[in-house]
Amino acid sequence: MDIRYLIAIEAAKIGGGLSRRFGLGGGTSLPGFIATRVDPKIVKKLSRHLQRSVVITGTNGKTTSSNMLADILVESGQMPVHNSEGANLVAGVVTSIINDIKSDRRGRVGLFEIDEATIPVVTKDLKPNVVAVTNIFRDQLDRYGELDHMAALIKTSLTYLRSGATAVLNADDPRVATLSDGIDVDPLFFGIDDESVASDLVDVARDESVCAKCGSPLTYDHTYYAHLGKYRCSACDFMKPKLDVRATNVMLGLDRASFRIETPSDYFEVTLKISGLYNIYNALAAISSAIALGIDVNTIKRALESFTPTFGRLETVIVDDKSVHLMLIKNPTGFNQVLKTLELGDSRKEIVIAINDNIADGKDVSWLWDVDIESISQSDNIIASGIRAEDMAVRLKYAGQDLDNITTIKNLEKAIDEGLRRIEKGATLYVLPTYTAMLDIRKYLESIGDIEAFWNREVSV
Amino acid sequence: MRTLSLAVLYPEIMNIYADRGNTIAMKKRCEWHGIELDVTGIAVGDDMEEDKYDLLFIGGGQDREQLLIAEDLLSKKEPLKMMADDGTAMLAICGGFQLFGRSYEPKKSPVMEGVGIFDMKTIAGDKRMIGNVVLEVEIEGLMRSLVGFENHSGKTILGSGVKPLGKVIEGNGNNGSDNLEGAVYKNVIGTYLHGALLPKNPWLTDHLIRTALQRRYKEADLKELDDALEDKAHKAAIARAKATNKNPSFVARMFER
Repeated sequence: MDIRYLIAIEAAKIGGGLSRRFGLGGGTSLPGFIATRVDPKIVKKLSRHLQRSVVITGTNGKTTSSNMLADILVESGQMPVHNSEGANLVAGVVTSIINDIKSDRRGRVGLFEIDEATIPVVTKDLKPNVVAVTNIFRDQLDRYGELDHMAALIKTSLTYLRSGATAVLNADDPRVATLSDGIDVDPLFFGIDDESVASDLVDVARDESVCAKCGSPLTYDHTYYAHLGKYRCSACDFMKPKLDVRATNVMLGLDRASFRIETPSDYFEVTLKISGLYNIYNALAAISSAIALGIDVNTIKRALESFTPTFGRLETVIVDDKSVHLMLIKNPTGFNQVLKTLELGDSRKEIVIAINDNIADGKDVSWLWDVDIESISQSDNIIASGIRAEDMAVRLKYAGQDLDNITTIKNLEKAIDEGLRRIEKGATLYVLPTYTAMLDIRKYLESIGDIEAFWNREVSV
Repeated sequence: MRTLSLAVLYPEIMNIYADRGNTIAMKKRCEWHGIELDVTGIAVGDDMEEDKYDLLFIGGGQDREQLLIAEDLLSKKEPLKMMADDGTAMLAICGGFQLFGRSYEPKKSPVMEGVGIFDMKTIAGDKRMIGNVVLEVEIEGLMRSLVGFENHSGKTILGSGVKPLGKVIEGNGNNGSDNLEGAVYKNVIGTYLHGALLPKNPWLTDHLIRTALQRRYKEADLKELDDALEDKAHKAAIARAKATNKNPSFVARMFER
């Protein structure tokens, strides 16, 4: 009998229970945090409860991709063990497995979205069958150091996989496309192959300018956004790899996107209930992982077409006959994509931008200066909120916004109240929060609006 | 209308922490002061004419980006030194700051020779120095505070031929041990601070503009601007630096996410 393991599990359950009882929050990570302190080998021991597992990592799209894959797994009749709350450090993964132990169903599929910095620790002990990498962007460099370091962490974790495991890689991201080089895993490359949706702008959030193999500058035939696109090295033979799973015939609407998926053996049409090129990449990561797991294309198509995003990524809450539209922003690329979507909206918008600088948001708010804030309409009214409200207000001023259109309300709840006060019944308040601001805003909306109680739904310890 | 010209070195490559915010700040404040600012991006292989610019800016990059430009930067050493000696207002941040010194020694690649405007050298350390910074800086005879965010593992040691930019009040500074941050040689300022640096320190932006005006027009009057938002952000950054640089407790870390 493994006493340390048993104590770890019990302590985790008690900790989780206490945290919930006293409303302390942190229920998606605290039990795991306690368990790893008591038993450092807990991940390895818990992995016995899983028959197979998939890990999804990368800067953007982890949560949406893994939620899509979770829906596909459910559609195929498998209930995944999933850290679906965006709790993507070791503690969150451990919590999700512990939560599932008591249900006493063995032989299940583990599905974990994992933070780039944590992935070597988790893969070493978990030995997943599939590792999917969405992209590598400038995100929280203050936490992880530099982009090369992030790529190195993921590459290291791929070396821990068993032979025959699959690395599902975004071929449109040059830094991701080289991750499987020289490692004994099967790469499965996904990407977009449709020049009609290529960007004709030189994107300001370009993170990738040099070849990961020889250090020479890369040249692009076209980009879809940021550094994702069709590229080749100006000096060596490195170029975008041949796609195993490709999206073609892409059509983007305000609230939907349709495309055709082509694999070496099959093709099918998909219409998503969400828009944005980034969501097509999210779908590609989920589809490719599902294919690697051997799930048939009809199941994949059915699950994706009924997919709706949750947890503040992009959702609408009704408060007093007014809509609050939440759109998570994490980094320049995501923020730019959200602003592009906003351009499709009403002409005179009320917007709350909430910037926090806690560890999960990134402690350095410099990234706001890499966002194309200048594209926000001069007729929009903006409330800057959050711990770094003042930084956001200054950014708006230097983007040329009229000072009369900028209000600074540091307190998140008061900012939401003021935003709601400014709009008519039937109108929409657009709220753009960073991660921890989103958690607090969602909690507040839960108390005043029509929203499913998040903690009750997600946590069962 | 008075006009000034700004050269931005390698804007595509040296912009790791949104240093382009500094260019935006210079452009906007010039506009508000009624000055036209011409901005010229200078890429690898472009000519560097020493008598063409009133202001010069270089931002930060990773080791790899630094390697990509180090050789080209060295080929521009003579015009850059002439500009510095002639009193041109220049600002060099993080990776650019390191290469304005004599040398930078990264962990994995060979030593890069810098342009040597600052008498200093930088050696890669083991610990990354990350966090909010507050400096006490004396410029134009006034003591001011300067706020920003540092993220570097390079440790910079100043030689005798260069002065520090300021004294560290919050954060690590050049090397985490001598309490000094940045470097100043004539009108050239080097620092590790991002933020972006200039928007939250409008007095420094105006100092650079004034220096450039003085050199070109022999007078440097700037009108008073409404800096209420900038001042609030500056004060908030000081408060945040004080709050975040305390060691978080075990319990606080548990609930951080």
